[in-house]
Amino acid sequence: MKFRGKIVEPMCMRQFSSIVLTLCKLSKESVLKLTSTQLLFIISEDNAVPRRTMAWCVLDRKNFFNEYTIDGQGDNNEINLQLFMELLASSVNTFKAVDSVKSVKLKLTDKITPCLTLEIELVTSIGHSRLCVHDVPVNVITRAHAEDYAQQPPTHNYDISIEMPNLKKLRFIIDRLKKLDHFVVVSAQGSGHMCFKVETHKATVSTFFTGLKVEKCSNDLDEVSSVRVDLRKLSHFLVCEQIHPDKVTCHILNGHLIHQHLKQYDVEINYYLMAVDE
Amino acid sequence: MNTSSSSQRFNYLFEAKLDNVKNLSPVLKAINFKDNATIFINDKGLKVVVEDSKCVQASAFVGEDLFQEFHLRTDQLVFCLDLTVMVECLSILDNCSSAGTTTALNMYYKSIGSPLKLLIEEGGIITDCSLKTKDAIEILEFDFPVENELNKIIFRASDLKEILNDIDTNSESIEILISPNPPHFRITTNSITNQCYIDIPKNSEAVEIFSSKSPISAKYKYTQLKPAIKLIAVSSKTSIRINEEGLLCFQFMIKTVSKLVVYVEYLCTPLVDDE
Repeated sequence: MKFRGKIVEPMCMRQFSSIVLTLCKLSKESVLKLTSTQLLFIISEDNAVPRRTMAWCVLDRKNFFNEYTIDGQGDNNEINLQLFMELLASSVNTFKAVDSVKSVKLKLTDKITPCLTLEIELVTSIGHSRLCVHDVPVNVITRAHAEDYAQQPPTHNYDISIEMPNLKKLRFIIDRLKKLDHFVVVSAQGSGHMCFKVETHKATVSTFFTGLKVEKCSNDLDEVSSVRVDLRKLSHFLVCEQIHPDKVTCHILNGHLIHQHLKQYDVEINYYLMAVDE
Repeated sequence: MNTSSSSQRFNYLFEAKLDNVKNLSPVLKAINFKDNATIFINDKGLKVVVEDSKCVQASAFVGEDLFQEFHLRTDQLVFCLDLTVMVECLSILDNCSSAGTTTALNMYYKSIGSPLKLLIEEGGIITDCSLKTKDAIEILEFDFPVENELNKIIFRASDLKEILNDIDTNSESIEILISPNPPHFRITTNSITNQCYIDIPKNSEAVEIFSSKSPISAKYKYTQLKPAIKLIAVSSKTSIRINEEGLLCFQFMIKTVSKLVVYVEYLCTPLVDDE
Protein backbone atom coordinates (compact mmCIF):
# COMPACT_ATOMS: atom_id res chain seq x y z
CA MET A 1 0.00 0.00 0.00
CA LYS A 2 1.46 3.30 -1.05
CA PHE A 3 0.30 6.88 -1.17
CA ARG A 4 2.09 10.07 -2.01
CA GLY A 5 0.77 13.46 -3.02
CA LYS A 6 2.28 16.90 -3.44
CA ILE A 7 0.59 20.28 -3.29
CA VAL A 8 2.52 23.23 -4.72
CA GLU A 9 -0.04 25.95 -5.40
CA PRO A 10 -0.46 28.33 -2.40
CA MET A 11 -4.18 28.62 -3.19
CA CYS A 12 -4.60 24.85 -3.00
CA MET A 13 -2.75 24.67 0.31
CA ARG A 14 -4.95 27.36 1.77
CA GLN A 15 -8.07 25.68 0.48
CA PHE A 16 -7.01 22.26 1.72
CA SER A 17 -6.24 23.63 5.15
CA SER A 18 -9.50 25.56 5.47
CA ILE A 19 -11.47 22.47 4.52
CA VAL A 20 -9.72 20.39 7.16
CA LEU A 21 -10.19 23.16 9.72
CA THR A 22 -13.89 23.32 8.91
CA LEU A 23 -14.37 19.57 9.08
CA CYS A 24 -12.50 19.24 12.36
CA LYS A 25 -15.32 21.27 13.98
CA LEU A 26 -17.82 18.58 13.04
CA SER A 27 -16.28 15.62 14.80
CA LYS A 28 -13.11 14.36 16.44
CA GLU A 29 -12.64 11.44 14.10
CA SER A 30 -12.85 11.12 10.39
CA VAL A 31 -12.21 8.57 7.70
CA LEU A 32 -9.99 9.70 4.89
CA LYS A 33 -10.68 7.73 1.75
CA LEU A 34 -8.06 8.04 -0.96
CA THR A 35 -8.90 6.92 -4.45
CA SER A 36 -7.16 7.44 -7.75
CA THR A 37 -9.35 10.44 -8.58
CA GLN A 38 -10.64 11.78 -5.28
CA LEU A 39 -9.91 12.43 -1.64
CA LEU A 40 -12.88 11.95 0.63
CA PHE A 41 -13.44 12.87 4.23
CA ILE A 42 -16.23 10.82 5.74
CA ILE A 43 -17.46 11.82 9.16
CA SER A 44 -19.83 9.64 11.15
CA GLU A 45 -22.31 10.91 13.65
CA ASP A 46 -21.16 10.53 17.26
CA ASN A 47 -22.83 7.78 19.25
CA ALA A 48 -25.09 6.66 16.44
CA VAL A 49 -25.84 2.94 16.16
CA PRO A 50 -25.73 1.75 13.42
CA ARG A 51 -23.08 4.04 12.00
CA ARG A 52 -24.54 6.99 10.15
CA THR A 53 -22.71 9.34 7.85
CA MET A 54 -22.97 12.94 8.96
CA ALA A 55 -20.62 14.54 6.47
CA TRP A 56 -19.38 13.39 3.11
CA CYS A 57 -16.76 15.68 1.68
CA VAL A 58 -15.26 15.16 -1.75
CA LEU A 59 -12.09 16.82 -3.00
CA ASP A 60 -11.07 16.42 -6.59
CA ARG A 61 -7.43 15.35 -6.47
CA LYS A 62 -6.59 16.88 -9.88
CA ASN A 63 -7.26 20.35 -8.60
CA PHE A 64 -5.18 20.01 -5.45
CA PHE A 65 -2.23 17.79 -6.16
CA ASN A 66 0.50 18.32 -8.71
CA GLU A 67 1.87 14.87 -8.06
CA TYR A 68 -0.27 11.99 -6.91
CA THR A 69 0.49 8.28 -6.77
CA ILE A 70 -1.63 5.67 -5.10
CA ASP A 71 -1.30 1.95 -4.82
CA GLY A 72 -4.25 0.80 -2.81
CA GLN A 73 -6.43 -2.16 -1.98
CA GLY A 74 -8.91 -3.95 -4.13
CA ASP A 75 -10.19 -3.32 -7.61
CA ASN A 76 -11.05 0.26 -6.74
CA ASN A 77 -7.50 1.03 -5.74
CA GLU A 78 -8.56 2.64 -2.47
CA ILE A 79 -6.97 3.43 0.87
CA ASN A 80 -9.17 4.08 3.87
CA LEU A 81 -7.61 5.72 6.90
CA GLN A 82 -9.12 6.61 10.20
CA LEU A 83 -7.58 9.66 11.86
CA PHE A 84 -8.09 12.33 14.47
CA MET A 85 -9.09 15.50 12.70
CA GLU A 86 -7.62 17.72 15.38
CA LEU A 87 -4.16 16.33 14.78
CA LEU A 88 -4.46 16.83 11.06
CA ALA A 89 -5.94 20.28 11.65
CA SER A 90 -3.03 21.41 13.78
CA SER A 91 -0.65 20.31 11.03
CA VAL A 92 -2.48 21.96 8.16
CA ASN A 93 -2.92 25.08 10.25
CA THR A 94 0.81 25.70 9.93
CA PHE A 95 0.58 26.28 6.20
CA LYS A 96 -2.70 28.11 6.13
CA ALA A 97 -1.37 31.64 6.15
CA VAL A 98 2.37 31.28 5.72
CA ASP A 99 3.70 32.62 2.44
CA SER A 100 7.04 30.93 2.89
CA VAL A 101 5.64 27.43 2.34
CA LYS A 102 6.96 26.10 -0.93
CA SER A 103 5.29 22.74 -1.06
CA VAL A 104 3.39 20.23 1.06
CA LYS A 105 3.85 16.51 0.62
CA LEU A 106 1.38 14.04 2.01
CA LYS A 107 2.40 10.45 2.25
CA LEU A 108 1.57 7.25 4.01
CA THR A 109 4.46 6.07 6.12
CA ASP A 110 5.12 3.22 8.48
CA LYS A 111 6.77 4.61 11.58
CA ILE A 112 5.96 3.18 15.02
CA THR A 113 2.36 3.13 13.84
CA PRO A 114 1.08 3.86 10.36
CA CYS A 115 1.17 7.59 9.83
CA LEU A 116 -0.01 10.16 7.39
CA THR A 117 3.14 12.21 7.09
CA LEU A 118 3.05 15.85 6.03
CA GLU A 119 6.34 17.20 4.79
CA ILE A 120 6.17 20.96 4.65
CA GLU A 121 8.92 22.62 2.72
CA LEU A 122 9.63 26.16 3.86
CA VAL A 123 11.89 28.85 2.48
CA THR A 124 13.52 31.27 4.90
CA SER A 125 13.83 34.97 4.14
CA ILE A 126 17.40 34.50 2.93
CA GLY A 127 16.54 31.59 0.69
CA HIS A 128 17.50 28.59 2.81
CA SER A 129 15.31 25.57 2.55
CA ARG A 130 13.78 24.02 5.63
CA LEU A 131 11.74 20.86 5.97
CA CYS A 132 9.11 20.47 8.64
CA VAL A 133 7.67 17.00 9.15
CA HIS A 134 4.37 16.24 10.88
CA ASP A 135 3.30 12.68 11.56
CA VAL A 136 -0.40 12.11 12.06
CA PRO A 137 -1.02 8.59 13.35
CA VAL A 138 -3.72 6.76 11.42
CA ASN A 139 -5.59 3.47 11.52
CA VAL A 140 -5.68 1.67 8.24
CA ILE A 141 -9.19 0.32 7.73
CA THR A 142 -9.20 -3.22 6.46
CA ARG A 143 -10.99 -4.14 3.28
CA ALA A 144 -13.80 -5.84 5.16
CA HIS A 145 -14.57 -2.69 7.14
CA ALA A 146 -14.04 -0.35 4.23
CA GLU A 147 -17.46 -1.47 2.96
CA ASP A 148 -19.04 0.80 5.55
CA TYR A 149 -17.55 3.83 3.89
CA ALA A 150 -18.13 2.79 0.31
CA GLN A 151 -21.40 4.53 -0.37
CA GLN A 152 -22.56 8.09 -0.02
CA PRO A 153 -25.94 8.19 1.75
CA PRO A 154 -28.74 8.00 -0.80
CA THR A 155 -30.52 11.13 -1.96
CA HIS A 156 -34.18 11.10 -1.02
CA ASN A 157 -37.10 12.56 -2.79
CA TYR A 158 -36.80 15.83 -0.90
CA ASP A 159 -39.79 18.01 -0.23
CA ILE A 160 -37.88 21.15 -1.04
CA SER A 161 -34.44 22.20 -2.20
CA ILE A 162 -33.71 25.80 -1.39
CA GLU A 163 -30.67 28.03 -1.54
CA MET A 164 -29.29 28.84 1.92
CA PRO A 165 -29.25 32.47 3.07
CA ASN A 166 -25.94 34.28 3.53
CA LEU A 167 -24.05 31.85 5.76
CA LYS A 168 -22.04 34.48 7.56
CA LYS A 169 -25.14 36.34 8.69
CA LEU A 170 -26.93 33.14 9.49
CA ARG A 171 -24.01 32.01 11.61
CA PHE A 172 -24.23 35.12 13.78
CA ILE A 173 -27.96 34.60 14.21
CA ILE A 174 -27.61 30.89 15.00
CA ASP A 175 -24.93 31.70 17.57
CA ARG A 176 -27.41 34.01 19.33
CA LEU A 177 -30.13 31.40 19.19
CA LYS A 178 -27.72 28.89 20.70
CA LYS A 179 -27.88 30.85 23.93
CA LEU A 180 -31.63 30.37 24.11
CA ASP A 181 -32.08 26.67 23.41
CA HIS A 182 -30.47 23.51 22.01
CA PHE A 183 -32.85 22.90 19.15
CA VAL A 184 -34.06 24.84 16.17
CA VAL A 185 -36.88 24.23 13.73
CA VAL A 186 -35.71 24.90 10.20
CA SER A 187 -38.51 25.38 7.73
CA ALA A 188 -38.80 26.39 4.11
CA GLN A 189 -41.52 27.19 1.64
CA GLY A 190 -41.69 27.00 -2.13
CA SER A 191 -42.24 30.76 -2.15
CA GLY A 192 -38.58 31.26 -1.19
CA HIS A 193 -39.06 31.76 2.53
CA MET A 194 -36.89 30.16 5.14
CA CYS A 195 -37.40 30.32 8.88
CA PHE A 196 -35.24 29.39 11.86
CA LYS A 197 -37.32 29.10 14.98
CA VAL A 198 -36.43 28.49 18.59
CA GLU A 199 -39.14 27.83 21.11
CA THR A 200 -38.52 27.81 24.86
CA HIS A 201 -40.76 28.34 27.83
CA LYS A 202 -39.46 31.88 28.04
CA ALA A 203 -39.73 33.00 24.46
CA THR A 204 -40.33 32.12 20.84
CA VAL A 205 -37.84 33.59 18.43
CA SER A 206 -38.08 33.15 14.67
CA THR A 207 -35.85 34.63 12.04
CA PHE A 208 -37.19 34.85 8.51
CA PHE A 209 -35.33 35.07 5.25
CA THR A 210 -37.15 35.83 2.03
CA GLY A 211 -36.42 35.82 -1.67
CA LEU A 212 -34.30 32.67 -1.63
CA LYS A 213 -33.95 30.68 -4.81
CA VAL A 214 -35.97 27.48 -4.82
CA GLU A 215 -34.43 24.74 -6.91
CA LYS A 216 -37.03 22.11 -6.50
CA CYS A 217 -40.30 21.92 -4.65
CA SER A 218 -42.52 18.86 -4.71
CA ASN A 219 -45.36 20.49 -2.78
CA ASP A 220 -47.57 23.53 -3.09
CA LEU A 221 -45.73 26.82 -2.93
CA ASP A 222 -47.07 27.81 0.46
CA GLU A 223 -46.74 24.41 2.11
CA VAL A 224 -44.13 24.43 4.85
CA SER A 225 -41.52 21.70 5.16
CA SER A 226 -39.75 21.70 8.47
CA VAL A 227 -37.23 19.73 10.50
CA ARG A 228 -36.26 20.15 14.13
CA VAL A 229 -32.51 19.74 14.48
CA ASP A 230 -29.69 20.13 16.97
CA LEU A 231 -28.74 23.80 16.99
CA ARG A 232 -25.12 23.08 17.86
CA LYS A 233 -24.68 20.73 14.92
CA LEU A 234 -26.20 23.23 12.53
CA SER A 235 -23.88 25.91 13.80
CA HIS A 236 -20.88 23.60 13.28
CA PHE A 237 -21.78 23.28 9.65
CA LEU A 238 -22.05 27.04 9.23
CA VAL A 239 -18.34 27.34 9.94
CA CYS A 240 -17.88 26.21 6.34
CA GLU A 241 -18.65 29.80 5.45
CA GLN A 242 -14.85 30.25 5.70
CA ILE A 243 -14.23 28.25 2.52
CA HIS A 244 -16.34 30.79 0.61
CA PRO A 245 -18.65 28.34 -1.12
CA ASP A 246 -20.15 29.19 -4.51
CA LYS A 247 -23.44 27.68 -3.59
CA VAL A 248 -25.05 26.04 -0.58
CA THR A 249 -28.33 24.24 -1.03
CA CYS A 250 -30.55 23.01 1.74
CA HIS A 251 -32.60 19.91 0.95
CA ILE A 252 -35.40 19.23 3.41
CA LEU A 253 -37.22 15.98 3.92
CA ASN A 254 -40.16 17.07 6.03
CA GLY A 255 -39.84 15.87 9.61
CA HIS A 256 -36.83 13.69 8.92
CA LEU A 257 -33.70 15.17 7.49
CA ILE A 258 -31.82 18.21 6.35
CA HIS A 259 -29.20 17.65 3.72
CA GLN A 260 -26.89 20.60 3.23
CA HIS A 261 -25.06 20.50 -0.04
CA LEU A 262 -22.11 22.80 -0.44
CA LYS A 263 -20.40 23.26 -3.76
CA GLN A 264 -17.21 25.12 -4.36
CA TYR A 265 -15.35 24.72 -7.65
CA ASP A 266 -13.28 21.63 -6.69
CA VAL A 267 -14.91 20.69 -3.40
CA GLU A 268 -18.25 19.27 -2.44
CA ILE A 269 -19.50 18.86 1.12
CA ASN A 270 -22.67 17.00 2.01
CA TYR A 271 -23.88 17.40 5.54
CA TYR A 272 -26.73 15.32 6.91
CA LEU A 273 -28.67 16.49 9.92
CA MET A 274 -31.24 14.11 11.35
CA ALA A 275 -34.42 15.38 12.93
CA VAL A 276 -34.66 15.41 16.71
CA ASP A 277 -38.02 14.63 18.26
CA GLU A 278 -39.48 16.89 20.89
CA MET B 1 -52.24 55.45 7.16
CA ASN B 2 -55.15 53.43 5.91
CA THR B 3 -58.08 52.58 8.08
CA SER B 4 -57.60 48.85 8.31
CA SER B 5 -54.15 49.09 9.79
CA SER B 6 -55.12 51.89 12.16
CA SER B 7 -58.09 49.92 13.46
CA GLN B 8 -55.82 46.96 13.99
CA ARG B 9 -53.38 49.16 15.83
CA PHE B 10 -55.88 50.06 18.50
CA ASN B 11 -55.96 46.42 19.51
CA TYR B 12 -52.59 46.88 21.11
CA LEU B 13 -52.17 48.36 24.57
CA PHE B 14 -48.66 49.42 23.72
CA GLU B 15 -46.62 49.76 20.62
CA ALA B 16 -43.38 51.51 19.85
CA LYS B 17 -41.01 51.86 16.98
CA LEU B 18 -37.29 52.45 17.09
CA ASP B 19 -35.19 53.09 13.98
CA ASN B 20 -31.99 51.88 15.49
CA VAL B 21 -32.12 49.09 18.03
CA LYS B 22 -28.61 49.98 19.18
CA ASN B 23 -30.11 52.95 21.00
CA LEU B 24 -31.72 50.52 23.40
CA SER B 25 -29.81 47.25 23.51
CA PRO B 26 -26.53 48.43 25.15
CA VAL B 27 -28.43 50.04 28.02
CA LEU B 28 -30.45 46.92 28.73
CA LYS B 29 -27.34 44.81 28.41
CA ALA B 30 -25.61 46.96 30.99
CA ILE B 31 -28.27 46.29 33.63
CA ASN B 32 -28.66 42.62 32.74
CA PHE B 33 -26.94 41.26 35.85
CA LYS B 34 -30.02 39.18 36.67
CA ASP B 35 -32.44 37.42 34.37
CA ASN B 36 -35.67 38.74 35.72
CA ALA B 37 -36.71 42.32 34.96
CA THR B 38 -39.80 44.36 35.69
CA ILE B 39 -40.91 46.73 32.97
CA PHE B 40 -42.99 49.82 33.62
CA ILE B 41 -44.44 51.74 30.73
CA ASN B 42 -46.19 55.09 31.03
CA ASP B 43 -46.64 58.05 28.70
CA LYS B 44 -43.19 59.40 29.58
CA GLY B 45 -41.40 56.30 28.50
CA LEU B 46 -40.16 52.93 29.56
CA LYS B 47 -38.51 51.90 32.81
CA VAL B 48 -36.70 48.59 33.19
CA VAL B 49 -35.92 47.50 36.74
CA VAL B 50 -33.58 44.68 37.72
CA GLU B 51 -33.08 43.60 41.33
CA ASP B 52 -30.74 41.30 43.14
CA SER B 53 -31.43 39.73 46.54
CA LYS B 54 -33.45 42.71 47.80
CA CYS B 55 -30.22 44.70 48.18
CA VAL B 56 -29.52 46.02 44.74
CA GLN B 57 -31.78 47.71 42.28
CA ALA B 58 -30.91 49.04 38.85
CA SER B 59 -33.41 50.93 36.76
CA ALA B 60 -33.04 52.27 33.26
CA PHE B 61 -35.27 55.10 32.10
CA VAL B 62 -35.78 55.23 28.38
CA GLY B 63 -37.75 58.33 27.45
CA GLU B 64 -40.46 58.15 24.83
CA ASP B 65 -38.45 60.70 22.79
CA LEU B 66 -35.95 57.94 22.02
CA PHE B 67 -38.62 56.13 20.04
CA GLN B 68 -39.85 57.27 16.65
CA GLU B 69 -43.31 56.12 17.57
CA PHE B 70 -44.69 55.51 21.03
CA HIS B 71 -48.34 54.72 21.66
CA LEU B 72 -49.74 53.69 25.01
CA ARG B 73 -53.48 53.11 25.26
CA THR B 74 -53.69 52.85 29.03
CA ASP B 75 -52.25 54.80 31.99
CA GLN B 76 -49.53 52.41 32.96
CA LEU B 77 -48.33 48.93 32.16
CA VAL B 78 -46.28 46.72 34.45
CA PHE B 79 -44.99 43.25 33.69
CA CYS B 80 -42.02 40.96 34.24
CA LEU B 81 -39.93 39.21 31.63
CA ASP B 82 -36.60 37.53 31.13
CA LEU B 83 -34.19 40.33 30.32
CA THR B 84 -31.37 38.01 29.22
CA VAL B 85 -33.58 36.62 26.49
CA MET B 86 -34.73 40.10 25.52
CA VAL B 87 -31.15 41.34 25.24
CA GLU B 88 -30.22 38.33 23.09
CA CYS B 89 -33.20 39.01 20.86
CA LEU B 90 -32.40 42.69 20.49
CA SER B 91 -28.85 41.92 19.44
CA ILE B 92 -29.69 38.97 17.19
CA LEU B 93 -29.05 40.88 13.99
CA ASP B 94 -26.13 42.89 15.38
CA ASN B 95 -23.50 41.54 13.06
CA CYS B 96 -25.72 41.33 10.02
CA SER B 97 -25.92 45.01 9.20
CA SER B 98 -24.04 46.33 6.24
CA ALA B 99 -22.29 49.67 6.61
CA GLY B 100 -24.58 52.66 7.00
CA THR B 101 -27.75 50.75 7.72
CA THR B 102 -29.43 50.29 11.06
CA THR B 103 -31.61 47.61 12.56
CA ALA B 104 -35.20 48.67 13.17
CA LEU B 105 -37.28 47.52 16.11
CA ASN B 106 -41.04 47.36 16.57
CA MET B 107 -42.49 46.50 19.97
CA TYR B 108 -46.04 45.36 20.61
CA TYR B 109 -47.92 44.42 23.71
CA LYS B 110 -51.47 43.39 23.03
CA SER B 111 -53.17 42.97 26.38
CA ILE B 112 -52.41 42.13 30.00
CA GLY B 113 -50.72 38.75 30.14
CA SER B 114 -49.90 38.52 26.47
CA PRO B 115 -46.32 38.22 25.33
CA LEU B 116 -44.21 41.21 24.41
CA LYS B 117 -43.58 41.02 20.70
CA LEU B 118 -40.41 42.33 19.18
CA LEU B 119 -40.07 42.65 15.45
CA ILE B 120 -36.50 43.27 14.40
CA GLU B 121 -35.69 44.00 10.80
CA GLU B 122 -32.47 44.51 8.92
CA GLY B 123 -31.83 44.31 5.19
CA GLY B 124 -34.69 41.93 4.46
CA ILE B 125 -34.02 39.64 7.42
CA ILE B 126 -36.86 39.71 9.90
CA THR B 127 -36.76 38.30 13.39
CA ASP B 128 -39.97 37.88 15.29
CA CYS B 129 -39.56 37.41 19.04
CA SER B 130 -42.36 36.70 21.39
CA LEU B 131 -41.26 37.10 24.99
CA LYS B 132 -43.50 35.56 27.58
CA THR B 133 -44.48 38.00 30.28
CA LYS B 134 -45.40 37.42 33.90
CA ASP B 135 -47.35 39.46 36.38
CA ALA B 136 -45.10 41.94 38.08
CA ILE B 137 -43.80 41.13 41.52
CA GLU B 138 -43.40 43.90 44.01
CA ILE B 139 -40.18 45.81 43.67
CA LEU B 140 -38.18 47.58 46.33
CA GLU B 141 -38.96 51.20 47.02
CA PHE B 142 -35.90 53.04 48.12
CA ASP B 143 -36.48 56.50 49.44
CA PHE B 144 -33.83 58.88 48.27
CA PRO B 145 -35.18 62.43 48.65
CA VAL B 146 -33.29 65.12 46.79
CA GLU B 147 -33.98 67.81 49.45
CA ASN B 148 -31.88 66.49 52.27
CA GLU B 149 -29.04 65.42 50.11
CA LEU B 150 -25.94 65.11 52.25
CA ASN B 151 -23.40 64.76 49.55
CA LYS B 152 -23.09 64.31 45.84
CA ILE B 153 -20.25 63.93 43.41
CA ILE B 154 -20.49 63.95 39.66
CA PHE B 155 -17.65 62.26 37.85
CA ARG B 156 -16.54 62.24 34.29
CA ALA B 157 -17.19 58.57 33.63
CA SER B 158 -14.22 57.95 31.35
CA ASP B 159 -11.80 59.06 34.08
CA LEU B 160 -13.61 57.20 36.82
CA LYS B 161 -13.59 54.06 34.73
CA GLU B 162 -9.85 54.28 34.29
CA ILE B 163 -9.36 54.75 38.02
CA LEU B 164 -11.61 51.81 38.89
CA ASN B 165 -9.86 49.56 36.39
CA ASP B 166 -7.12 49.19 38.98
CA ILE B 167 -9.48 47.94 41.62
CA ASP B 168 -8.65 44.62 43.27
CA THR B 169 -11.07 42.14 41.73
CA ASN B 170 -10.63 39.73 44.62
CA SER B 171 -12.06 42.19 47.11
CA GLU B 172 -14.79 41.12 49.43
CA SER B 173 -16.03 44.52 50.31
CA ILE B 174 -15.62 48.09 49.23
CA GLU B 175 -15.87 51.06 51.52
CA ILE B 176 -16.77 54.42 50.11
CA LEU B 177 -16.06 57.63 52.00
CA ILE B 178 -17.30 61.06 51.02
CA SER B 179 -16.19 63.94 53.15
CA PRO B 180 -15.97 67.77 52.95
CA ASN B 181 -12.37 67.51 54.12
CA PRO B 182 -9.50 65.65 52.48
CA PRO B 183 -9.37 62.97 51.20
CA HIS B 184 -12.87 64.05 49.92
CA PHE B 185 -13.56 60.76 48.14
CA ARG B 186 -11.93 57.51 49.10
CA ILE B 187 -12.58 53.96 47.90
CA THR B 188 -11.17 51.26 50.15
CA THR B 189 -11.13 47.68 48.96
CA ASN B 190 -10.79 44.86 51.47
CA SER B 191 -9.80 41.33 50.65
CA ILE B 192 -8.35 38.50 52.76
CA THR B 193 -4.80 39.56 52.10
CA ASN B 194 -4.84 43.24 51.55
CA GLN B 195 -6.51 46.58 51.80
CA CYS B 196 -6.18 49.23 49.18
CA TYR B 197 -7.19 52.90 49.02
CA ILE B 198 -8.00 55.03 46.07
CA ASP B 199 -8.33 58.72 46.83
CA ILE B 200 -9.85 61.23 44.47
CA PRO B 201 -9.54 64.84 45.71
CA LYS B 202 -12.35 67.24 44.88
CA ASN B 203 -10.15 69.32 42.58
CA SER B 204 -9.31 66.30 40.46
CA GLU B 205 -10.03 66.53 36.75
CA ALA B 206 -12.31 63.55 37.03
CA VAL B 207 -14.66 65.43 39.37
CA GLU B 208 -17.18 67.77 37.80
CA ILE B 209 -19.28 68.67 40.83
CA PHE B 210 -18.47 68.03 44.45
CA SER B 211 -20.77 68.82 47.34
CA SER B 212 -20.54 67.36 50.79
CA LYS B 213 -22.05 68.64 54.04
CA SER B 214 -20.78 66.05 56.47
CA PRO B 215 -18.49 63.05 56.19
CA ILE B 216 -20.11 59.71 55.53
CA SER B 217 -18.70 56.31 54.91
CA ALA B 218 -20.32 52.94 54.27
CA LYS B 219 -19.28 49.46 53.27
CA TYR B 220 -20.69 47.46 50.37
CA LYS B 221 -20.26 43.98 49.03
CA TYR B 222 -17.93 43.97 46.04
CA THR B 223 -20.11 41.57 44.03
CA GLN B 224 -23.03 43.94 44.46
CA LEU B 225 -21.07 46.88 43.15
CA LYS B 226 -19.67 45.03 40.16
CA PRO B 227 -22.65 45.73 37.89
CA ALA B 228 -22.32 49.43 38.74
CA ILE B 229 -18.67 49.40 37.70
CA LYS B 230 -19.78 47.93 34.37
CA LEU B 231 -22.32 50.72 34.01
CA ILE B 232 -19.64 53.36 34.55
CA ALA B 233 -17.91 52.00 31.47
CA VAL B 234 -20.87 52.69 29.19
CA SER B 235 -21.90 56.02 30.71
CA SER B 236 -20.57 59.49 30.02
CA LYS B 237 -21.31 60.96 33.46
CA THR B 238 -21.71 59.26 36.80
CA SER B 239 -23.05 60.72 40.01
CA ILE B 240 -22.55 59.16 43.41
CA ARG B 241 -24.65 59.88 46.48
CA ILE B 242 -24.84 58.27 49.89
CA ASN B 243 -27.62 59.02 52.37
CA GLU B 244 -27.50 58.94 56.18
CA GLU B 245 -28.30 55.24 56.33
CA GLY B 246 -25.49 54.44 53.97
CA LEU B 247 -27.73 53.72 50.98
CA LEU B 248 -25.64 54.23 47.89
CA CYS B 249 -27.09 55.73 44.76
CA PHE B 250 -25.35 55.87 41.43
CA GLN B 251 -26.83 57.75 38.52
CA PHE B 252 -25.49 57.18 35.07
CA MET B 253 -26.00 59.32 32.04
CA ILE B 254 -25.63 57.15 28.97
CA LYS B 255 -25.41 58.62 25.49
CA THR B 256 -26.88 56.34 22.85
CA VAL B 257 -25.56 55.98 19.30
CA SER B 258 -28.06 58.61 18.13
CA LYS B 259 -26.73 61.01 20.80
CA LEU B 260 -29.87 60.75 22.89
CA VAL B 261 -29.66 60.35 26.64
CA VAL B 262 -30.77 57.44 28.76
CA TYR B 263 -30.54 57.50 32.55
CA VAL B 264 -29.77 54.53 34.72
CA GLU B 265 -30.03 54.53 38.49
CA TYR B 266 -28.27 51.97 40.64
CA LEU B 267 -29.07 51.59 44.33
CA CYS B 268 -27.19 49.42 46.73
CA THR B 269 -27.70 48.85 50.45
CA PRO B 270 -24.68 48.89 52.77
CA LEU B 271 -23.24 45.93 54.62
CA VAL B 272 -24.07 45.84 58.27
CA ASP B 273 -20.87 46.21 60.21
CA ASP B 274 -20.22 43.19 62.37
CA GLU B 275 -17.91 45.01 64.77
